[in-house]
Amino acid sequence: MSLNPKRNPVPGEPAEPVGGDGAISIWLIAALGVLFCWGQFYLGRHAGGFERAVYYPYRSLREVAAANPRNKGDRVIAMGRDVFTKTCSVCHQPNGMGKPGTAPPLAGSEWVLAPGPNRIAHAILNGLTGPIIVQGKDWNLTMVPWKDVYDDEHLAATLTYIRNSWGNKAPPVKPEEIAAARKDIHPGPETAPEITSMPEKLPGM
Amino acid sequence: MNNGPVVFLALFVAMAGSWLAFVMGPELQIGATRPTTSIVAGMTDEIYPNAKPGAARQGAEVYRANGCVACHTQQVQPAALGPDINRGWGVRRSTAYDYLFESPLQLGTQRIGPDLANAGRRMDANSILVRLYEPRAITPRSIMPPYPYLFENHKITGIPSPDALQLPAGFTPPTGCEIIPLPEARALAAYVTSLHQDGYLYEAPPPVEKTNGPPPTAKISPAK
Repeated sequence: MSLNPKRNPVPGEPAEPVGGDGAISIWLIAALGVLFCWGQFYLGRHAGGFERAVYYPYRSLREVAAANPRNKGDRVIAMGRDVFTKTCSVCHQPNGMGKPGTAPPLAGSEWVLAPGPNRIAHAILNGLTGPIIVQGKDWNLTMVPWKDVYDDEHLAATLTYIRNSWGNKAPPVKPEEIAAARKDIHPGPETAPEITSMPEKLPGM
Repeated sequence: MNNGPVVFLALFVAMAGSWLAFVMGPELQIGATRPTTSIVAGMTDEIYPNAKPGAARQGAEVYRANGCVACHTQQVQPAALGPDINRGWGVRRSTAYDYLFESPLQLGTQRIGPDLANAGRRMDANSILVRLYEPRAITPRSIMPPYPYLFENHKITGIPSPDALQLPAGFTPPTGCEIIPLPEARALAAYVTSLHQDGYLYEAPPPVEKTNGPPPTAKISPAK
């Protein structure tokens, strides 16, 4: 700023300030240029190409594709997890530990980890009611039937998921095994003595 | 004004730049987001997200009118950025899909109360209504204010109402009275129960499985 006496129309009043004609420091321009380059570099590195399918922590479409289930086994687990999260986890809890007064645990449960899924498949299809012993503890609750909600493929995937999560380890369940259990459907929920009288594993499955 | 045209041009460029960056850019990036079936690489055919039922849409207005957004967020951080997923507030991070049917969008900025992005998966309508009537009936040291004006204290005449609030011991109304939620409270409960962000999307695939349960027991035949 400098005072220009020529631009002071009223005598005795302070002059109006005007811009000076000094040059901007070259270093300021250089610093702005460096900041701009750094900003572009950062965006190029972290913005995922502005793709709408790329969310943090992924940085490119290739990383998103790599994180998605690729082989059939992965997809079955993902499908089972999807059903479990939406339906089962409300009572059995997301960590499969169950909740007193709501639902018994699935993690480490001897019913879940049986060699074959036949008994638990009946319980899920028809529902289950009355006293049952899970991991040495007594439970006396009611589960509603799910035979009309999910098809064989989804139920098999869900069973495969709960048999292989939270430290569980058991062979996967085939949709045919659910279909076989679905054949002898009876009205009303199962009870523990009823499903105990069934074979754990159907022959030939 | 000495340099009118220059000032005008500078303002125009500033406004146009902001509009391009904050309106046009996002529109080009996520404006085409529509409900999708791409959940888990097309394994499930369910559409996600779903439109909200009418009561929930009315409840969104009650949520707004009572300023719930001041203390409750509706967004789940990615696992790498915060503890939300470990706290059980969600199964995956929030994406643009989750808000397609949220209007007005009430993301919230302060977490004085817990995140509600998946509240519909944690609480049923009665539990939400009890929390609205007296938060400390469920969480003993809750700092949430009670909203008694969303309820009516009735004298029971004849048979008790099936809509009466199921309050835990110590918080029940005097004998002969019952607490009835007003339509606003019921709409708000419908809105909160409608909140869930759990469709697995291609953009936010399921997290890598963690085994935080107990080690599996030996295979015992459940006889008896």
